[in-house]
Amino acid sequence: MSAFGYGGGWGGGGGRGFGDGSANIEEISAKVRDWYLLSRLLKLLLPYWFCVLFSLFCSLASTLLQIVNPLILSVAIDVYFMKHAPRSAFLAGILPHNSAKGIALLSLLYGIVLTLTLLIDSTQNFLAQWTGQMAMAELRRRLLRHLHRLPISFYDVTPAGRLVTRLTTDIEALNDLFANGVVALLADAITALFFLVALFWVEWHLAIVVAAVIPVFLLLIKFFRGLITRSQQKVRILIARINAFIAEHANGIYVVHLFNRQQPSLQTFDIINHEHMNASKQWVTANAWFMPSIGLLNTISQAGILITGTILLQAGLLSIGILVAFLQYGSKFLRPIQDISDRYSVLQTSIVSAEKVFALLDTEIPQEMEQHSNAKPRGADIAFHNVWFAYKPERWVLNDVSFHIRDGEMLAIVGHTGAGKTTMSNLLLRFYKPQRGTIRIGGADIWEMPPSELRRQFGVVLQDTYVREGTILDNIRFGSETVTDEDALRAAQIIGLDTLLASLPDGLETWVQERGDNLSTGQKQLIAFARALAHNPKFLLLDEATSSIDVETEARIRGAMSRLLENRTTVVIAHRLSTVLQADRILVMHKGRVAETGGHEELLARRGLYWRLFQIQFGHQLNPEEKSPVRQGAGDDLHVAPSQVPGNGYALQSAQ
Amino acid sequence: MIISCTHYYRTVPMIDSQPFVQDECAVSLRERYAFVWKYLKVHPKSLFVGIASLIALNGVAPAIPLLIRSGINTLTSGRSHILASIAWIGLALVGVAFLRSAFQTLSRLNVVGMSRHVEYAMRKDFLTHLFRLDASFWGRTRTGDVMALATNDLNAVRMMLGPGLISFFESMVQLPVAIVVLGYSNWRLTLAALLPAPIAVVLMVTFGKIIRRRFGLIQAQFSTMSAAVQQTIAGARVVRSFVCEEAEQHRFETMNRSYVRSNCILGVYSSTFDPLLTYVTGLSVLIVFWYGGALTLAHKLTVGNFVMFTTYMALLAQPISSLGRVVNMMQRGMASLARLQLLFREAPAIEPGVWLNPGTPSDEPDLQGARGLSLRQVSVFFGSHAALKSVDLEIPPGATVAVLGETGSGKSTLVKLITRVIDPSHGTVSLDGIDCRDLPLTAIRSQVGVVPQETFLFSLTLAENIALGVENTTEDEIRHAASIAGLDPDLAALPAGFETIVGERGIMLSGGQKQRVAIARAVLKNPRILILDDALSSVDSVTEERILRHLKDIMAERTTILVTHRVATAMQADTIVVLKQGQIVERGTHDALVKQNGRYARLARLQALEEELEVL
Repeated sequence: MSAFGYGGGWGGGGGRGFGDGSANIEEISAKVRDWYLLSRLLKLLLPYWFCVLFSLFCSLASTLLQIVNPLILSVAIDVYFMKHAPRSAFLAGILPHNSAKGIALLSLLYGIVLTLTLLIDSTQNFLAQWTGQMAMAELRRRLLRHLHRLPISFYDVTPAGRLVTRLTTDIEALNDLFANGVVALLADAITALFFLVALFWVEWHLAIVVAAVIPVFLLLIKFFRGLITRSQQKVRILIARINAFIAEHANGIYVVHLFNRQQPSLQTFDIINHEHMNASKQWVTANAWFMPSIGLLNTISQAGILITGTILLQAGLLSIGILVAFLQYGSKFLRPIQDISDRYSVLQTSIVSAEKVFALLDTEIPQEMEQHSNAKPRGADIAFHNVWFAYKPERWVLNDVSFHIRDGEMLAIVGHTGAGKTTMSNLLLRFYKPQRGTIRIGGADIWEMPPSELRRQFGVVLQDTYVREGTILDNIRFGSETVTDEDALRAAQIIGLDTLLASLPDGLETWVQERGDNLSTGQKQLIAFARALAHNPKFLLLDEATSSIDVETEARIRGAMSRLLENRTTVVIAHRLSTVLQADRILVMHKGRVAETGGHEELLARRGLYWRLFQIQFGHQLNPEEKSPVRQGAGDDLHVAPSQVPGNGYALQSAQ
Repeated sequence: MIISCTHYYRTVPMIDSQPFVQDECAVSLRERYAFVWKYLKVHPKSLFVGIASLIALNGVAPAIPLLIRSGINTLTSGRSHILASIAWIGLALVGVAFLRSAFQTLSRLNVVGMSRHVEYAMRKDFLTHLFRLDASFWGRTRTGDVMALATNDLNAVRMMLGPGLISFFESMVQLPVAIVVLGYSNWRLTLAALLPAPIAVVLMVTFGKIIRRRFGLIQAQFSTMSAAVQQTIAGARVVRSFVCEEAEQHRFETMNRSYVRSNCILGVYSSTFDPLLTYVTGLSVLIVFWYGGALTLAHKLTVGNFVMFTTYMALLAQPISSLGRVVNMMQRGMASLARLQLLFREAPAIEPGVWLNPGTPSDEPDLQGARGLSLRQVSVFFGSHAALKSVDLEIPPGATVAVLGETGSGKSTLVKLITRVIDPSHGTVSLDGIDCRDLPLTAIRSQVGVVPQETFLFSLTLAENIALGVENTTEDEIRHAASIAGLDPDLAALPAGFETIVGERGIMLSGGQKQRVAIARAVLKNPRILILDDALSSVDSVTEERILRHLKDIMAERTTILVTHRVATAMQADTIVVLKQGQIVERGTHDALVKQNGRYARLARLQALEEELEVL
C-alpha cells in the first residue's frame, strides 16, 4: 500500500553512525560501490567531454613544457658557455653563432615557454573547475526535480533540513571529487608516464638514475599514505563531531543549564576534543616525516645524478648542460606521482557525500502515485464513495466516508481534533491514495486524471498559510504560467489586498520576508485567498486557520471569501462562525466518520454533535470583543496535534 | 545553515542588551598578543625547539645550491681527476639534505603540534565559556554566529600559529640568507633577479583578498540558495496544489545559474593564482638566464654560479610566496583572535556558580523532601514592558499549583524565575525561605525539574537523552521513568529501542514523543520541585490523562507547578491561578473558581463539552 511506503511515524533512513563497518567483505563491497559512484559522477561530465579531453591535452602540453624548460638552459650552457657542438638535435637548426644573440634568443624562448605554461596551466585549472561546477549544477537540478516528484508522504517522515543538506552541502562536497576525481587522476598518470618516457628520450643513462628512485618513493608513499589518509579521515570525522557537538549544545543550551549538564558535557567534549588533537597530531607527525623524507630522497637522487653524470661526462657520453637539466628534473618528476596518492585520499573522504546524494536521487517514486489515464471531469461536483484511509496500517483516519457536493455548492466540514478533516483535503488533491473507495470530481475518478490536471482544477488555501520571500505579487502569482501579472493584480483588488496594503510604501510590491515574518496572520491569509482566486479554479478547497485575527481583518476575510466563492464548488474546513453560517450545507465529521449533515439551524436543533461543537468552536465568536483565556485555550486545542497528522512533521529542522 | 538559537532563551527579551555584534577594533593588538601568549607560554619547550629548528632549517637550506655550484665549477674546471671531489660533494649534499630533513621534521612536529595543542585548549575554553553564558547572551545570539567562531575563527588562529609561523621563518630567514649568498657572488645579478619578488608578494596579498571576498560572496549566495530550497521544501504541499513544480524549478535554476557563475568567476582567480605565482618567480630565472648569461659569456660569472643562480631562484619561489602567505594568514588570524576575545569578554547576567570548579564544596542546604516556594511582590520588566506585575504566590512544600493564562500572560516568565533563568526586577523569589539570588544556580537547578513545552533532544541514544540530568543510573530506572512518561508504545516502534539514536542526526520524533521524553527526563532526575510548562500540549487527551495518572504519585511527594490550558490537568492542583497580562486575576481551588463563574469557569464548561465529544 502506497501510503505506508515510507515507514510509519518513526521515519525512514535514520542517521548513520561514524566509521562503522570495518570487516573485509564490507571493505570490498565499499570499493565496488566507490567505483560505481565514481562512474555515475563521470557520466555527469559526459556533456563536457570536449572540455575534459582538452584539459587532458593541456596536462600533456604542460608536461612537455616542463621538460623543454631545463633543456633550453642546457643548450645555453653547452653551446655558448662550454662552446661544445650541440649533442642533440634540440634547437640545433636555429641557433645563431653569435653567443650574445644566442643567449638572447634562448632567453626569449624561455620566456615564451614560461608564458605558455601560465596559459595552459590556468586553462586546465579553470576547465576542471568549470566542468565540476556544471556537473554540480546539473546534479542540484536533477535532485530538486526528483524532490518535486516524491510523494508528500516522503516529506512527512523526512526532516526538511536533511533534504536541504543533500541538495546544498552534500553536493558542494562533491567539488573535491570533480576537481580531484578520476579526470585529474588520469591526467597525473599521463603526466608521470610521459615525463618518464621523455627523460629516457633525452638521456637514458641519467633517466635510469632518476627512475631508480621510484621504487623507494613508492615504498615511502605506501608506508606513509595509509597513516596520513587514516589520520586525516579521523580528523575530518572528529572535527565534524566537534562542530555538531557545539552546535547542538548551543541550540539546547537551556537544557544544559536546567539539567546541570555543563560538567558531564564538558567531559564528553573533552574526550572528542582530545581525540581530535591526537588524531591531528598523528596527521602532523606523519606529514612531518613524510615530506622531509621526500626532500631527502630528492637530494639523494641529485647527488646520484651528479656522480653518475661526472662518470658519463668523463666518458664523453654527456654534456654538462644535460646534467644540469637532469638536476632540475629530479624533483618535478615525483610531483604527479605524489599528487595521485594525495588525490586518492581526498576521493575516499568525499565519496561519502556522493553516496548520500545518489541515495536520495534513487529514492523510488511509487508508480501508482503518478499513474493516470486521461479522464476529464464533466461538471463540478465532488463525490466521496465509501472512502477508507489510514496513514499507518489499520489505524483508520477515515472510515467509510461518503458524501456528494453539488455543482456550485458550498460545503463546510466541521469536527473536533483528529476527526479526519485535513486528511480529506490530502486525499482530494491526490497527496495520498485511499485504501478503499473512490473520489470523483465531475464524474471522473481523480486517480484516473493526471495529478497536475486535477490540481489545476482546485484553488487551495491551507491552514498554515504559506508565503515565501519575494514581493506580494510574486506570492499571488506563485510562478504559475497560467497567471499573468494582471490576473494577480486583479485578484489582489477583488480580495481587497490593495486597500489593506495601501499603508505600506511599496503596496503590492512589498517584499515578504522568509516565512512572512513582516506580515500579520490576516494579511498572509488574504494573500493566500488572492493566490487561489488568481488561479481561477473550478473548485475551492479552504482549510481555515485557527489563529485569532482582529475584527477588521475578520470582516475583510469574510468579504474576500464571498467573492472567492462565486460560481465555484467549495469545500471549507471551517473554524470560523461566519463560514459555517455562509455554507449551504454542513458536514460534521467525528472520529473519521460522517456523523451529521444538514443546514446550520437544522443541525443546531438536533442538539447532537454539532450543537456541542458549535459551542466549543464558535460560541465565543458571537461576541468578538471578548478575548478571554477561553478563546485562547479552546483555539489552541483545535490545532491539529502534530503526532496525529503527519503533515505537520516538516517543522524547520536545521541543516547539519 | 538554518539553525536558530534556543527558543527557550530567545523568548526572553533582554534588558539593555545589544545584539552580538563584533567590532574587532575594540581589542587592541597588545591585548591580542597577550591573549595568544597565554596559550603559547604553556608550551615553552615546543616553542623553543620549534623556532630553533626553523632557524636552523632555513639556515642549512642554502648549502644545497652552494654545493651544486661547486660541483658544476669542478666539472667545468677542465681538471681530469675530479670524480673523488665530486663524490665528496655528493656525500656533502646528502649530509646537508639529511640535516635539513631532520630540522624540517623537528620544526613541524613542534610548531604544528603546538598549534594543535593551542587549538584544543582554546576550543575547550570556548565551550566552557559558552556554558557559562546565560539567557542574556543566548537570547540575542544566533547559533550560526557562534559556530562561525568555533570553526572559521578558531581555524584561522591555528593556521596563524602553525603553518603561519613556519612560513614566517621560511621567508624571514631564507630570503636574507639568499640575498647574502647570491649577493656575495654577484650583487648586481642578485638585485636584478629579485626584482619580480615584490610583484609576487603583492600578487599573493591582492589575490588572497580578492579570493576571500569572492568566497564570502559565494558563501552568502550559498545560504540564500539553501534558504530558498528550504522554503520550497517546506511549502511542498502548496507548490503541488498550485502545480508550480516547473515554476519552482525555474526559480531555482536562476539561482543555480548565478551561483555557478560566481563560482566560475572565483575559478578564474583561483585557477590562475598558482600558475601566475610560478610565472612571476619564473621571471627571476629568466632574468638570470638573460643577464646572467651575458655575464657568463663575459666571464664575469662562472658556469657554476650561473647554475647556482638558476637553481636558487627556483628554490626561492617558496619563501617569496611564503611572504604573501604570512601576510594573509596574519591578517585573518589577528582578526579572528579579536573576535574570539570579544566572545570571551561576554559575561553572564547571572553567574553560574560552582560547576566551573567541581572541586570546591557546594554550600547546598541539605534538605530532604519537597521544597516550598514563594514569590513576594515579584515584577519583571523587559525594557518598559512588564511581563509580571507584583505577583504574590506562596507554594507550600508538596503542594501542586496550576497556572493558566493566554500566550503572553506571563506564564513562561514565572517558570523562568523559578529556575532562575532570569532574576526579578523587583521583589524576591525564595526557595525554603532562602532568596534564590543567594543560592548557587546549580543548587537551584538540581532541585527543579522542568519539562518545557518544546524539548531539545541531543543526538544521543534515547536512553542517554532520558538520563541527561543524572550521573549514575541503571537501565531499570530509565525504563521506569520512560514508562511513567507513557513512552512504552513508542519504544516498540523504535528500531533499536532505548539504544536508538534520536535528535538531529538520528530519527525524527513527533512533538508528542519529544514531550514524553522530556517528562521521562524530569522524572528520572527526581527533583524536589517539578514544573510542567505546558508539557502535554502535543499529546492527545487520552495519552495526557494516562501520563498524568502515572505522575500523580510523583507529584504527591513534590512541589509541582503545572502550566497548562486544560482544565482536566488544572483540576488536579491544590491551587489554580489564572494569569492575565502579568497579574494573577483568579486564584483558588477548582470548585471555588467554578463557583466564582469567571474566566476559569467558562473554560471549564467548554472543555467539559469537549470531553463529551470524545465519548460520543
